[in-house]
Amino acid sequence: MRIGGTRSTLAGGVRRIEADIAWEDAVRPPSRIFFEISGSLAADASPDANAFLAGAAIPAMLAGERRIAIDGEICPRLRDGIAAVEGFFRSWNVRRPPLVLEPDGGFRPPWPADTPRAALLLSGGLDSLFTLQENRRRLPIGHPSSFRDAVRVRHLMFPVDSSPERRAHIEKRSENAVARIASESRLGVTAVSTNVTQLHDDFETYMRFSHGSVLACIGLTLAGSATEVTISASHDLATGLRSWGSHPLLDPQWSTAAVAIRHEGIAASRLAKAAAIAPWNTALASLYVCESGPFAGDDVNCGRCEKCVRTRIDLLLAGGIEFSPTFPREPVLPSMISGMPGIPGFRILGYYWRELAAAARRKGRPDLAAAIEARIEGADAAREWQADVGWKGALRRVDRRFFGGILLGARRRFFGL
Amino acid sequence: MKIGAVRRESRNGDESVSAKIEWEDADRVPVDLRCSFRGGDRPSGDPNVFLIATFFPALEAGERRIAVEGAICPLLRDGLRAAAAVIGAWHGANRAVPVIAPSEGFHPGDPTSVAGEGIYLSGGLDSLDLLLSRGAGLPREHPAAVRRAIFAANFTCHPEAAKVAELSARAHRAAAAMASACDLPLTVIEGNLLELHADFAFFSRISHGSVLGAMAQLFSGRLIAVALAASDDARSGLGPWGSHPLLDPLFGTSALRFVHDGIGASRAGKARRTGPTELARRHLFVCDNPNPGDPLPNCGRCEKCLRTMTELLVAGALAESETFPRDVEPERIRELPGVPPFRSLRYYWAPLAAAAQVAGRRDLADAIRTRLDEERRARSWHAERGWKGRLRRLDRRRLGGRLLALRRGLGGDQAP
Repeated sequence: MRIGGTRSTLAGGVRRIEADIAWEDAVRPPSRIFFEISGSLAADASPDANAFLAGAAIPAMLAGERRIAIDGEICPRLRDGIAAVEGFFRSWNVRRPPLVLEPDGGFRPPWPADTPRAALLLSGGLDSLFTLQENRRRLPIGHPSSFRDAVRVRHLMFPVDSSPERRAHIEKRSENAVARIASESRLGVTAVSTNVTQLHDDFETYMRFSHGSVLACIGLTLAGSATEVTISASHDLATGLRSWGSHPLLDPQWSTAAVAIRHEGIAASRLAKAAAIAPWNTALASLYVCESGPFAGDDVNCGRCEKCVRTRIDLLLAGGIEFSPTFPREPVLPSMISGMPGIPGFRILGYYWRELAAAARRKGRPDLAAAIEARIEGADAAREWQADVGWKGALRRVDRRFFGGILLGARRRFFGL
Repeated sequence: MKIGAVRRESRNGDESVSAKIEWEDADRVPVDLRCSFRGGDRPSGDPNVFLIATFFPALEAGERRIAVEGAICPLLRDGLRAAAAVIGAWHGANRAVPVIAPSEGFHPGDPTSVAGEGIYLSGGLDSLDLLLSRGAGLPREHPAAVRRAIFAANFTCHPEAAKVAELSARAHRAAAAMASACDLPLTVIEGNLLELHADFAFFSRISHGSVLGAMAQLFSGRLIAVALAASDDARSGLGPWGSHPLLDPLFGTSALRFVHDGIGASRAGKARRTGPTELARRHLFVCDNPNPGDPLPNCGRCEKCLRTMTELLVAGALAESETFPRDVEPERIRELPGVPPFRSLRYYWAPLAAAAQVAGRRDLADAIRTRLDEERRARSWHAERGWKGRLRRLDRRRLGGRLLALRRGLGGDQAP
């Protein structure tokens, strides 16, 4: 892979930084990657080669590129961090040849901004609101590690070429949510648009391996002013830290000598986070978790997708909040759980919901617990079926290999399955 | 637990901080903990130091609270809770986390405006590699530049006091030479923080990173971060261990971060990168078992020496070494002493068998494989795996171990 032609323009308060990406080993068309930055940190954003490298390294690794040649200087800490990321991937059974980094300006650490300045990637969801709340609880405003800026990533969705209606609907909801929180929490807001996700093959690869690197590379574009950028944990210690694209061991590896990338919040489960933010009215009035859309009405969240239903139950069980202001005003019912759409096959429903089933029983909502357990059981059975687990799976494998699937076909014809 | 009488004093040119530790729930005697800087430096009198040093022992002993004289950093309070969660997730022991109760409340400290980092230097391969990589290319005036090397004296749980002293003296000589060659001042920390961490398994598996994290806070107000070299690399999957990239940063405060760095390179990679340098050639010290009469700093016989020598040999850097014997004898590997049950020779040595073979030392590769097979058989025996294990369990349970005694009486195999 080659990364070159980095340039920067400033027009109408929007800083645009871009670079050309050309593939060398993978048969993929070249592309131009951009970051458009507006708001509090835009003026000093710079076309830092480290940011483009952080955004492109995992796609290059996974596509089997043998090297990345870069116009510019690369921080030796990022180089070593990328080696660590490769190491983690090997431990997750993703084996690729080692990536050689060839910056034409050599390995040189960048200088940080003169004044320490901490920023938080703020989506308006439960995880990032919790991180903000914790930061405010621990540190006085003015402390170098106290958040001064919220960074909102626009259009971070798959498929990347979603309809203009969907993009506009999500943008409006996300912008309002972050603006409201930032105003109360005395944060400047920086909005970043990028097409760096186009380097990723698909949503599954993106989620399993690299969305932390995308968030981190956005943080690195802000090196002219920010010295710390925090990503909020989506997984926690008690539930278990799975191999995942944003991970407490991966995300800090994208740091440079100028910007420290932090991953915070692993000690609190999602239920604990809901309990913590439940008394915070502005957070509840802004809470934005839903990537569905467009949908009718003025609600911020659709209330029907898996994330919405899960968050509503989090708030109900942890904070006693049945009617949260950013969700449709209707009671939480077991039918919502049984009727909600599934989640992609590479995610494990039980990971997110098992904690809720136990909490529902403790809180005297056996109806919800039973509905949750039925969904988990169904999802587990589907996963086992897909993974050909157990004697039935073994039989299916034999059928496929030696009989061309005749047995399964016959069964479906006879039993209509 | 109570942490009180936190004070700073100067004696015979050495500056020290100390605190009195009293147990409240555990039936243990009070202890005075102390840390001193040898050679005129002045440690911070920060109570966070003693909170970090005592946290895991208090958790392990079931103390319900830790009352601290002074103010504590709220970032550290939450970090310690998270550290307890990490240990709970790893070892399945979800003990109640002691409540941290500082007499002056929770107040975050400000980082120093005079930036710069410190780095732990032990004289070994990991820390030398980190010194050369983390400091590489950073001009001295860069805020993240390494400005100070730190040596923790007597930082081992070896049962023999004389051995500890000998080991520490040799490691100090190596670290001092390395720091001097890099034009870095070296602070030597002495003290007795390890008194609460005397159990080797506890120290290794849970707490040694926290003790180093505690001592790092002695530099609060003078450095923005202290870096500790990783002893393990990401490719291994980074299993539970007392110094770990998930754990060590949790011992940082708002004034001084504690960084675990170097997980991107395997030990073989470090040997390749750092082994051929003059610093490694002249000063590298890794030995676990030094004896006063040894002609070289490293004994060349203990597990750590033999492993490092093999790594250097594979990297083409052993033949020039001034601190190790210049070749590895396969017999030494076959006679390699075991490692404690919570560690595994295979973990450290398996990659070296293939590497030795590639380097044209089939004799060493064979010796390594033989030794690893022995370890595997011994572990199977102890874990009572397979039909022999089932038979032994049956014998013990139903026949009072008579079959085993009979076998031994007839001169059969002994336990591995």
